[in-house]
Amino acid sequence: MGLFDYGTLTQERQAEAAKIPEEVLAETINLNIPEGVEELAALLTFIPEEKRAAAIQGFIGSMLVT
Amino acid sequence: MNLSQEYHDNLQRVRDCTNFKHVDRIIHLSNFYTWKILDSDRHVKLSEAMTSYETLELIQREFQEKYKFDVHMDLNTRNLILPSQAMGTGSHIMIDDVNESINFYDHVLMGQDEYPDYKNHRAEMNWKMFNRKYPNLDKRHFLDAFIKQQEASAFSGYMGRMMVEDYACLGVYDTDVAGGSVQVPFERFPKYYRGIKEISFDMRRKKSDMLDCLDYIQENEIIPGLKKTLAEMEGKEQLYMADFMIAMLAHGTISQKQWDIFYWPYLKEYLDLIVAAGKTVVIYLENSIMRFAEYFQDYPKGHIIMILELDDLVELRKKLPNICFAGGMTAALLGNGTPEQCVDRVKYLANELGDGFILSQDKMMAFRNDCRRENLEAVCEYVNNFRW
Repeated sequence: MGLFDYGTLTQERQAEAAKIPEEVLAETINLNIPEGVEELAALLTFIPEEKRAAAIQGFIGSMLVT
Repeated sequence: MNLSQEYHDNLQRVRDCTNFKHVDRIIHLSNFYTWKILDSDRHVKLSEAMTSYETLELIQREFQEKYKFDVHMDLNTRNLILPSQAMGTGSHIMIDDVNESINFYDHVLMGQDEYPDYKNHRAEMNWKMFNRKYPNLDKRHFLDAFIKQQEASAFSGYMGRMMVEDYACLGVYDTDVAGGSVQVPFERFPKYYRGIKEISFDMRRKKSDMLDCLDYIQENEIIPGLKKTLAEMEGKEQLYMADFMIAMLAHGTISQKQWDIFYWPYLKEYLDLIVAAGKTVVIYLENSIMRFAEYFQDYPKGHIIMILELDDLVELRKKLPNICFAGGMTAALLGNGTPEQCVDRVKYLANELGDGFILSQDKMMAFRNDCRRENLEAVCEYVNNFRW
């Protein structure tokens, strides 16, 4: 019986995220829109560029109802 | 998905039950949530279980192998907390392992004057509310939470497929379909954005703004989405307990007059569309629907399943002979009664309700005292062996 295994994909994404400079990751989110959203989308280097904006909107929507 | 003959048999049984055709046995729907973790022979704390997908999966499997339900409302995928915890801004979720409870900070994310902004500038409004809910968020925590949210989403999808393929358990509805779950526009405001207390003021003081916003959401988002989903379903075999799910929570806190203005017109439009298309909907009802039962009386049999909480199913059946009911097994008995009393309750419900009845629990079973294991074992043994 296999169990849920997403660890490899998560690790790959975390490894990709670790390439972002420390000083960028330490920044507080820019509250202005669209700049703040665009800055977050730019961090999603493991997602195709054309899908990043929608991914951010989806994430925001999910976190509002969590 | 790989669907077994057993799954198809279970599906046909639920379909027949929804249509008030006589079925061979009692269908059993699980309304169990975190009680599963507390009942587990793994003896893990809530905080340990809810931060481990492996543990959540093993507990869900254990629960099904022990009790053998036909359908589950929850697959240990509700409120997956790792993404929220990763946000790191004083997480709004509090797991109390001593009292075995999970609580949330009550937020008011949206101001009473912001209904026009919510209607006309949604992306900006969502952004504002997001930053109010997670203040001072840095990019590191955001990125970590985003990656964890993707994992959580994958886990939810996996658990749905796993229960279908490994246990022939029906999914309640197709969670991969964007428009499969519908709520009236009103629901999101007391639940997520304004809170119950503030919404009661809004319905009096901001009625015009509210209705303008609700109408916009209905006409531009929900109805087009519902119609699109119905079109995509055309010609496809139904493989779930129902085609759609509607969750009703806020109706329990509003008056008759408020229901007629802020709730029913929107809900009626969904039900009319779904029934006209020949599709089915499961309505998950918190609280009671008795005072609004007449609104559902004219829908034909075969389209609506109501999962009921506080209502007496036998009394409600007199008003709604056309609606398939799920519920009836009380937490009061499961938690405080004897195995014999619990089994007698099942017999009573089955005999009184007959066709168009699915056994389930009368609340979201979350706390240890909601149920004693020996009572659930007795009920499940009876149900799993009973044949008409």
